[in-house]
Amino acid sequence: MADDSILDIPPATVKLAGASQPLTVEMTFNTPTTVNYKLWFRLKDADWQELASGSFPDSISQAGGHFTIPKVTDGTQFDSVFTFTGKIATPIDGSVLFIQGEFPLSGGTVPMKGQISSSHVTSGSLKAVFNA
Amino acid sequence: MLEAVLLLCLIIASTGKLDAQESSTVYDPFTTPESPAFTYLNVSPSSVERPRAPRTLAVGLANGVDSAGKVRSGLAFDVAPFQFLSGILPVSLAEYQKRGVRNWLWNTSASLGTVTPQTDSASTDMSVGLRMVLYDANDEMADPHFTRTITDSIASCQNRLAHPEMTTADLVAVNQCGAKAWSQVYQQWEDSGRGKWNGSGISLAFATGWRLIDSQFSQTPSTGWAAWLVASKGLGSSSLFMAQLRYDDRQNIPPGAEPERLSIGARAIFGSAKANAYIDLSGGHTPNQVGGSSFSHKWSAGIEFRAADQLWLSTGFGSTFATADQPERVKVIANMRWRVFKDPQFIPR
Repeated sequence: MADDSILDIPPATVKLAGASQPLTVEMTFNTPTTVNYKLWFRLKDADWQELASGSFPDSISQAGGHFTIPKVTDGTQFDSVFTFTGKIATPIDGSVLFIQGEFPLSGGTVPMKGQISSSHVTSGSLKAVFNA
Repeated sequence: MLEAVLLLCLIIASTGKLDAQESSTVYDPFTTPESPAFTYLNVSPSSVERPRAPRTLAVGLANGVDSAGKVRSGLAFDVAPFQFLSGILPVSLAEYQKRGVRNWLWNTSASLGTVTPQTDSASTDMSVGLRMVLYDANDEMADPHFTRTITDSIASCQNRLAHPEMTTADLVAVNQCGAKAWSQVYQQWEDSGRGKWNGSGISLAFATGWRLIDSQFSQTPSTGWAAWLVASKGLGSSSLFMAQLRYDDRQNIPPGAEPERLSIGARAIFGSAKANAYIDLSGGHTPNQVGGSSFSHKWSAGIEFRAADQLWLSTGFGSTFATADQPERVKVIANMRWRVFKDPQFIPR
């Protein structure tokens, strides 16, 4: 039986607009749950690096839900964990956008949909790989 | 000694019946009905559909009509319609905590039910209802202090357990840590007085209905409407004052069970989350068949205490204490009337 506290997020394959250019990760959440996140990335054949960690609503962070990877090349990987808490059965409705320039990349809009579990906590992991 | 044994037997015998007896047909006047449509129809469905997506709701409603176009009896739906619209009308946590219109909409629920009327087995009575919580001091997600504390605790869980390339088992471990954190933070929130047993609140509900002649939509005379308004205000840490207003203009009431057309009441409770004393005063106006009307007033007072989880005992006196329609839950022991409930008197919502 599936664990109702795990949010199923299919992995994403994102087509880069330009190699070796910055990439912005933007997050939005549309329902009244708390959100804690940890984001990592690694260039091809390199080690994982933490990109960001924090929470929504976050009165301390100035990032406003935007984080930038300075240089993204073909084969760069992205990984993350999102933990949502709230009243049982509250819908989870959020999305992560991968942006170069002004617009999301092809395959770069990743929805996160589900609901808060019976234990008040639900977590999911969003993984992506960037191809030139 | 004998009375204590009898009381214990009452508790044991009542425990198994409580869930079945917690019926919307016998609801506390100082609460707005959870599903006004069911209360309007005097039913307590054993199974209620709670769709979480518009498509699921649409399919359920479509299945409620048979191939001959007749509405089925026994339908029971309860949904939070504005929660379907999070993509169009987002309600972030920050917006929710402003306790404005978006908070009200998010906490609005709609209900729909159908039942076969006793006097016309070929027809179907249908009702729709709406319930809105305008303010709830005990809503932990509306308290920034609570949500800040829980996010700090979850951050601690993630710092210890989260890493790249997590497996499902790793996520489960994070969730288990988070669930433990939630329990602790919630308990601290309650103990600190923020999640008070006597928190203030206001809620309202409305329901209306129709009789579907021959169970079809071609003839649908109205069966009236009903509305409820309940407000509560806590004072200090040990008192709660509640007021209720109810208007009931239904025409589908079983004979001999007609409620007052308009009723108003007040309740004062003194005590704690585990034991308290209360006094109720209420009055009502009922029109009679010859064109006049009658006024009535009632009162009750007593004490109640929590015997176990979801098990309260109450004893008291007055004209409305343990009314005749609840014989299964009322016992006379040691010359005192006792009744058993799952919820105490102070849940105003």
